[in-house]
Amino acid sequence: MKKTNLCTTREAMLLELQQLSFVLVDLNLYLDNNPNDQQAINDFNCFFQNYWEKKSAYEMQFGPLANFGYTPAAYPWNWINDPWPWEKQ
Amino acid sequence: MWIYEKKLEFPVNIRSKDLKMAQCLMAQYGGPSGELSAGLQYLTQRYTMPTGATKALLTDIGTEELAHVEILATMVYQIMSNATIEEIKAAGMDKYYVLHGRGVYYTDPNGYNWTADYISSKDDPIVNLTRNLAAEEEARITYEWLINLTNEPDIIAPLTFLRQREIVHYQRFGEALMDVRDYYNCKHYF
Repeated sequence: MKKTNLCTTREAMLLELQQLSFVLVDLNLYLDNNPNDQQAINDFNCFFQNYWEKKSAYEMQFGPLANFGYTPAAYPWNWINDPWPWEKQ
Repeated sequence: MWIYEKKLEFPVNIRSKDLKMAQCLMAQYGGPSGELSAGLQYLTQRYTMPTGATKALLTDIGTEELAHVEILATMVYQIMSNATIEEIKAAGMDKYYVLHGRGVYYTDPNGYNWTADYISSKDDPIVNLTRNLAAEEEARITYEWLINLTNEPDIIAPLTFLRQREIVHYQRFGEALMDVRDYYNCKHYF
């Protein structure tokens, strides 16, 4: 029962990260072609802030999203932990 | 360099065991106008791009295509991973099975393996960007045909997302083409 709740929390947090990072990916492509759009840059920074906070919270609880660069390593090395993105939830 | 993130760009959770659909999905994995072709094409064309905007765009769209490769692989993997031999034979996937088992391979539904012959990279940004506009449209229509072949919401959701991305990339490449034309026109008048 506890495991199920944890999975649900993880999935919900991951979904929010996917939504926020999608906004950033899409704005990234738009800004490549429109580098002087101040409003879009404001949006980018606003979503970035939100994304960064949610990502840190996720990584604190469920382990790193990248093999290096975002968070210090925990002991034991938990980058190897399941689930991987292609595995059914 | 590239950094791997341990998450999909769009969530995939497929309960269906429609193996025929898994085989069709390979069109967008290892097929001529699939995501692997798109990603590798843009990433090798970027060295010809003359402006900061186009260098960035080819890098960024090429990178996003690799995330789409992963989505397709996940879809195929999830459908195939628990398939029985009987189901594999019934779906006509016995030839695929004898070569790859339930593994995910860069091939298309007809069994033609991915080849660099599918892609194009010329030392001319106008040629490359024009080619990319066509690549995005080819992928868009392939997604529409894939969606026509299934009623499974778990399969349709990621396909709809991927189809939308083709439309956005087409738009961005169109803007990039104008950017490059402006760049050359400015130089001529100097």
